[in-house]
Amino acid sequence: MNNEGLRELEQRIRAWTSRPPALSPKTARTRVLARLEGRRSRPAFSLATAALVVAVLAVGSLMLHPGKPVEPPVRTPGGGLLVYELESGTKVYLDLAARPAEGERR
Amino acid sequence: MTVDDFQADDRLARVRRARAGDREAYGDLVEELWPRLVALARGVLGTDADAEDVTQEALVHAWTRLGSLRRPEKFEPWLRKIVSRRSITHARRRKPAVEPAEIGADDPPVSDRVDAVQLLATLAPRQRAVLYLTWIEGCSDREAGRLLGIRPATVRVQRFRGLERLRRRVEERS
Repeated sequence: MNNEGLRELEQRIRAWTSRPPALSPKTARTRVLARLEGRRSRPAFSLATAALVVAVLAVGSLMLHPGKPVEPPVRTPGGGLLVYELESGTKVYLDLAARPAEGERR
Repeated sequence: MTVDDFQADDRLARVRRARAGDREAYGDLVEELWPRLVALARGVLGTDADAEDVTQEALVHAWTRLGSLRRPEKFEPWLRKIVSRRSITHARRRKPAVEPAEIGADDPPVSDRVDAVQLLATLAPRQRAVLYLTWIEGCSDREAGRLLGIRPATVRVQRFRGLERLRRRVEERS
């Protein structure tokens, strides 16, 4: 396509795109505003703001709920009993000296 | 202060009011920019069909995102970005359709006009957007790239391919 052909095409496209819209600006305004009902212009958080919010929440959560430290098992004076306390508060007793019952032997 | 300065200040004040939730101020902006935005949507869509619907949707979407506009003086380029990207997305979803436009007194003959629009409609949406922005609206490669979210080098490639395609189509027809 030569320059003349391009220029002609450009003029035709320009004339076509710059025709007035079917909807007048006033009507467009009315329609757009009607569609805004119930919608709010909301501020968008930037990525940096979002990252900051997540970091603050994470640190705050850790400070408020640091987690229960693991307790070492308590050894009874007899030496054969270990007691573990689970996070739920349940105590688990492990008697190292206990022998299996007769019926459990293989 | 020139008339242009006054208009720019006036628009800036409206944008600020709209950001604060003033719908009437936003309505004024819609009214002012409507013809230019529809022309942009037409150019990117390559057809009259849907251009006004897509522009309306873009304007409604823009209202909900006004808070993300950091520089109110860049309101129009920001809005044009939304319209052009929404138009590309819309154009990719639908099959190309070309309908004869209404005839205006100063328009070229129908056969020529429809032919030009049909030619434009044969391009890929992004090629069409690049050609429209750089060729018809006179945007620089950088400006067009910013609007479409692509690099200036990609703008040049897309324009080259678009023009090549147009040239082939014209040669096929003649």
